Order: sequence, then C-alpha cells, then structure tokens
Amino acid sequence: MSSPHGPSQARDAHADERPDRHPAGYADERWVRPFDPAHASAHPRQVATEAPGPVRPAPVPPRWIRLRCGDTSIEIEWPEAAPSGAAPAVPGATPAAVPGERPSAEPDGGRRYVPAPMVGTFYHAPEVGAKPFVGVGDTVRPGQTVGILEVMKMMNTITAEVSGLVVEVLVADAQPVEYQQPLFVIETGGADPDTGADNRPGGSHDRH
Amino acid sequence: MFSTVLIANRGEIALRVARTCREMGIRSVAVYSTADRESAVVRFADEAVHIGPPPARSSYLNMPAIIEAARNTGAEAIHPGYGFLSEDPDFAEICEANGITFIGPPPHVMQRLGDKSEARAVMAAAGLPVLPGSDGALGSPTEAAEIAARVGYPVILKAVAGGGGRGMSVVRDPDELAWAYQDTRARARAVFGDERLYLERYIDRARHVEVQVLCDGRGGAVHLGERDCSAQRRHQKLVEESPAPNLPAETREAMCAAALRGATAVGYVGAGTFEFVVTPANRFHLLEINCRIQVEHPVTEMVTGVDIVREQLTIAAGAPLTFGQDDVVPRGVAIECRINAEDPARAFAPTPGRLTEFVPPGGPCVRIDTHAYPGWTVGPDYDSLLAKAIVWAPDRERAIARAERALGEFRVAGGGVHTTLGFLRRLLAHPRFRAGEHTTDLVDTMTSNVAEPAPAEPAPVP
Repeated sequence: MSSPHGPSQARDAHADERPDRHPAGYADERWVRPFDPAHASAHPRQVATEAPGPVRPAPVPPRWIRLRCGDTSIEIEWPEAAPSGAAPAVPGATPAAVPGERPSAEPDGGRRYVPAPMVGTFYHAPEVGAKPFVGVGDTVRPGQTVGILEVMKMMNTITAEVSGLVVEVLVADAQPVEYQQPLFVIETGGADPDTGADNRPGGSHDRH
Repeated sequence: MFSTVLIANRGEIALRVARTCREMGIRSVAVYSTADRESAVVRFADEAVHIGPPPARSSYLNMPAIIEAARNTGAEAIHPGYGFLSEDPDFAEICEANGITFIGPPPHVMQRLGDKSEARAVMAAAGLPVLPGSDGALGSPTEAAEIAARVGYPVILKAVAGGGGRGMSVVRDPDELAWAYQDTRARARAVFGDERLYLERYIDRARHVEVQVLCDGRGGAVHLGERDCSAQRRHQKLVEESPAPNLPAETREAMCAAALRGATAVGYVGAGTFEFVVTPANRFHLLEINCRIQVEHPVTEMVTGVDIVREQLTIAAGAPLTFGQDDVVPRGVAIECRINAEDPARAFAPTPGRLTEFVPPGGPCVRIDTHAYPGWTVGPDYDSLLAKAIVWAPDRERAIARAERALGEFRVAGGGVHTTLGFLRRLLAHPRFRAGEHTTDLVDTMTSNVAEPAPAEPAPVP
C-alpha cells in the first residue's frame, strides 16, 4: 500500500516531470484517445475552427508559425506579442471556454469571472520565476492568455473571454482548481462582455 | 488501508460507497457534474470536486478530470461504482499509471471478461456450462444464420462489448435474423462503439440467477450465495431477491462452485458477479460476468451481513479476506425493489422533474439506498433510478409482505414525476411472483397483456 500523500506532495512530485512547462504537447500518448469529443476542442484543429478568439483574421500577419505533428503542437506568434515573449496563441491544446458554460454566480455589475475550463492545476506564469501573464491592474482583451491549466501533464492556456481590467486574482500559483472555479475577476466597465472589439490573439497589453 | 478514496460516480451508489468509507475512517472525495452540485453525496462526502458539465462524457466519463481530481485531493484509490468507468480496462490502467489504485479487478482481467464472447470461451474452457452458440464474434449474417440453424431458434444476438441489458435482440423467426443482425449491430456500434456481435440459444421462461463472489488475489475466494433477478423489463432488473426461490439446493451449490471455479480460472480479484440463466429443468448456463459492484448487491448484504463495499476496499488495499466460505451463512430472505422515475404506463419512459415530496419508508429491516430528497431534481442526463427499497424477513412470505408495506409507505411526488412504485406493488402481488415461479417474461406479460386480471392492490402512490 502506498503511503498517504497530501495534495501538495503529489503536485511537487509532478512538477519534477516538467522542466519545460510551456509550451508542452501531449506528454503521454495514452491521453490522446481518451479525450472524447466533448473535449475535442483540446485538439488544435478544432481550436482553429471553433474557438472564436484565436482565428479571427488578424490585422497583421503572424511573425512566425510553428507546427509539430508528432506531439500535436501549434504555435503562432504575432509581432506585438506579450512582452514576456511568451503568449503563443494556441500552444498545444486548450479546452478553453465551453460555449454556454458560465460560472453559476457572476460577480456584480459589470464584472465577470474567468472560470477554469477543467479540473487541473492553475499557473500564473509561463514558467517558474517568470512574470505572471496578468496581475491586478492589467487590462485584458478577449483571447488573451491569462494563465495555464495543467491537466494530465498537458498545458492548456486559459484565455480571457472579455475585455476589461483585472481587479482580483482569486487563486494562487500552482493551486488545484475545479471545473468552473473562478480564477480572476474582470471589470468590464459595463460593456457587453461578449462583443470585445479586438479578438486578436496574443494582443498586446500594457503592464504597469 | 487507504486514507482517502475518490468515488467516480453519482447517485445512490456514490452515497452508498461514501457511507462505508465514513464507517471505515476513510476520507471520501465526491466528484460531481454541474447537474449534481446539490446532490446528496456532495453534501455527505468529506470533500467534493466539480469535474464538468452535465453530459456524462464531459464529467463522469472524463478520465483526465477524474484523475486530476484524485491527485488534487490526495486520493490513493478510486471506487468506480457501477456503470460509467466501472468496467473500463483503460481507465483502470490509467489509474495504475498514475499511482492510484483502481478498486476493481486488474485491467487485463476486465479486458478479457468485458469481451463477452471471449469471456464465454474462457469460461467454457474452465468447465462452466455455456449456452450453445457462436465461438467468438460473428463474421456475417450468413454465419449467424448457419449457427442459429444449428443451435435452434429462438436465439439471442448480443453485443460483444455489451452489458447492462443493452445491445441484444431475441430472434424467433429465421426470416427476421438478417434484419435483427443489422439492427443490433447498428445499436451496438452506437452504444458501445463496437459493432461485433455473438449469438446464443435463447431460453424462454428462464430464470436469471447470479452468484456474488469475492476474491482477494491471494488465493482467498468465497461466494456470497445467489440472487434471483428474473423480474426484468426488457433485460432491466426491477426486483431482485436472495436466496433464489424454489432453486434446488444441488443446483445452487453447483452454480456457486462453478462461479468460484471461473473466478479462479481467470485470476479474478475483487467483487464480481457471475450471471446465469436457469432453465425450467433447473439446468444453468453462464450468461456473463460483471466486474463491478452491482445495483442489487444490498440483498446479498442483508442475508449474509457482509458489507461488499468494505470487502472491495479491503481487497484493493491488498489485505486478505478475513473470513472463509464456512463463515458465510445466509439467513432469511431479502428483496430489493428499484424505484425509478419512470412512467410504466408509457413504456417506462423516464420522467424528469423536481421532487416536491419524498418520504421514504422506515420500520424494521427496511433499508433505503437513495440520493433523492424533497427539492432534488431528477434530471434528463442520467439514469432514472431514484431509490432502492431493500427489506429483510425470516422467510419469503414475510419479506414480500414487508416489501409491500414499505412500498405503500413510500411517498414520491413532483411535477411530471412518475415512479415505478405502483407497478412494483402489482408485481409483488402477482401470483407467479408470490409463488416464486416467475421467469424473465413476467414483467413484459404484465405490461402487454391488458386482459390479465388486475391484482388486488389499488393503485399507486403518485
């Protein structure tokens, strides 16, 4: 019988297996099949055809595109990518937002949550010690990467669905989260949150 | 023993497993879909993790979400309950690969027994009687017709990957075989993602009797006697009881011995069920083996005093069985009635809705396993099982009287919600059931034959 281990130990042990946290593809091929159509948006092809954010025509062509077949990885970078140089738009896979699924309780007036799309471990930054994707006081646009969700060794980007100001960060780095758990509070300023004007992926944002 | 166990299921069985965990001092973790956020097990368990939206494929069949939930909560083992991932060898293997104990038989055993035609072959080789039929999967309608002609009609076509009474058709007329072959194949493909079929002789007026076994993987193996599950509606069980009424002692002993022989032959570990069909002449043939806890397990618990979930947990933790065959001494008679949110008048169609009233019965020797309560919404996403009423009495006559009393006491109401309560009372009152002479065709006879004399009992609660 294995000895009982707490969640933090389990995560730490797991962390050792990912020297390069981002971007990552399918670490374990056995996971390619069990993902059924309900999560098939985890497959880049489907992200490309379904996700509203990443595929709207961008005003400028990408700076570079990398495709990899074996580990199923697609990376696209636009010229004005985030200062960290990270922010590839579609690294590997993301179940991102499921249309029609919203956290049951939204915060009051003009504020929206960014929810976790799946059970997993949430990270604020592309790698240990790096600057977080966003923090309180940052503005975000739809499609912009706000964090990473690790699910079965797969790194999924979490993107904002609305434009606005990050007013609260609700979970700590490397914290386990459950489905639909609110991660950030975004102040949308009362604008219709679903019609963000510019859905360009990896769009620039100002860091203060 | 484990300190934390995650329960990868919902409804009454999730709560039932969590209860044994609590009794054993094991921390329980429930997982739930958005539709189940107010469910009883979410309230009862020590911790609960929201794993996905209502469709089962995104929640209770979502392996990454369940494995992540187990890791995030420090669960060392996963109890899969019944249905969902309970008989999925891939899931068992993935648990293993992630250092989590799957509470069930080893993946390779599940794989062999999950392929119903292979299980048939393995068990025939171990000396268990199987019905005459095809060796392995059928290749074509022509092959099916040849075998059917050889074994004689009626025959039953079954999905190799089938289970739970789905994906099977009885064929009585050779002219219907080709059509039934195509139809069953299409359904098997849709439901199980595997269109392979096999064929067996079908026995009319048969009884369905199954044997519960426990194997510790260290040579310890016992059976916990049998359950009669002949009261079925289209292969879905409605009433189960133990012991099987009017089963000759030598038949019972032979069946239990056969089940243990089969379990040993295949290297079975954990709790399992060997399902047999028993002919009017009390000859028995193996139907299939279920590698999970079953819905009807409480009747065995009531007559033997063995907590089967506790034994599953103990075996999965690597401990030997603490009792032998001689210690298993069944006493009295237990009957389980499944109360489903279904309308018997409309071919048992599910009737979702919000429960405004839910008052289960009580009193001596009555056990109610349910996740329902007033205000609970029976949703359209999952099966319609609302509650199981299990009663015990020293003899069958008193057990039937007690079941009748308990069902009469049960009050369920809600907008649009119908239940099987009234139908179950008619079934218990039926002369063939009372005499213990009912076979698997009884329920269909009751629902199709309008000319049949109405049972004495007045109708149903809501």
